[in-house]
Amino acid sequence: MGEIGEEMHQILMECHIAYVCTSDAKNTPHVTPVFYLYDPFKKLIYFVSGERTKKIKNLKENPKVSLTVDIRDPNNPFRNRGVMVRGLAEVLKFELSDEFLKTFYLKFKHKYISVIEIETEKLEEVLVRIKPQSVSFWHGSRFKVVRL
Amino acid sequence: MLYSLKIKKNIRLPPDIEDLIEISKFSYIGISDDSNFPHVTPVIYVFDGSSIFFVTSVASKKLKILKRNPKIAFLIDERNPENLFENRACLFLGRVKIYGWLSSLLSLKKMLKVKELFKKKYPKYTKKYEREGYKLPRAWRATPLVSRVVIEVIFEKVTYWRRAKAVRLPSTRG
Repeated sequence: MGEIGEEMHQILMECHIAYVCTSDAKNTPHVTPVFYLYDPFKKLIYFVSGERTKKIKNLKENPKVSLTVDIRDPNNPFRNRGVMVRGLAEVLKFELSDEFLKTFYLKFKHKYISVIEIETEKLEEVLVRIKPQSVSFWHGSRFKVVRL
Repeated sequence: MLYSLKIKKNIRLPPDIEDLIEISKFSYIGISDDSNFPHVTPVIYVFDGSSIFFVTSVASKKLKILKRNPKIAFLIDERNPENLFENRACLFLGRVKIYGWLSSLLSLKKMLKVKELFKKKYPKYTKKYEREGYKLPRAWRATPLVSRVVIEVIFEKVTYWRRAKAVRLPSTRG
């Protein structure tokens, strides 16, 4: 079992947008951008999504997921760096009586204050928790995969 | 704003979508392997007016996956770095055509056009690969056919949207 290295942690911590790929029962892929939160201690990744979206429908059919976060250099391809996480996703209901979800909520709100809209009535959003199985990292031509 | 289109052959894309494809430099491709495990990686691409093309290494995992399952989700997401909420995005769903030795030779004119489009759209990347490509392992160099394979995305459905949807969370009050 490997460990998520410092460079991988750094990318996951500093970026704001992740690209999530899900796949339905017919093996048809789907990619979409998400605002995410990374927990470096528990090595888990979270994002929020509408319950009726295609990605949630796919994840309910097939919990396998892949997520990429990267930093591009428009002038030099050898400076591009990023991580791709492969893992299993769990779709959770928001229950703010839960201490963990309360903590998540505050951290998420802090990271994305400009894109959050507080909903007081019926909430259709769900929380997705990804448990990584492997993390691929690249920086220019340097490439490594860590299996967790 | 969001709309989806089913693409019929020889139909031009709406101007907003064509403009986004031309302006944007990077995209993300989503594919799915034999065990239904998705895979998402960033790529650079060009558009010839009807199809999107990207290149990949002969040793890449995406090529291995696409040879067995040609279905692809191709996402362009142009975002204002000052305000992440402001974006224009387009998701193309379709299949790929992989140009191996024979198909490249049979489509030589198209392949030369794709090469020119890459040179024009990514002059800095192209120069960097020409000057420093020797530092890369052979399979990752930019040598056409020997190390790199051209892949055409033939899209069947396109979804376009502007401005990211606000994230809704339950209220902590009450």
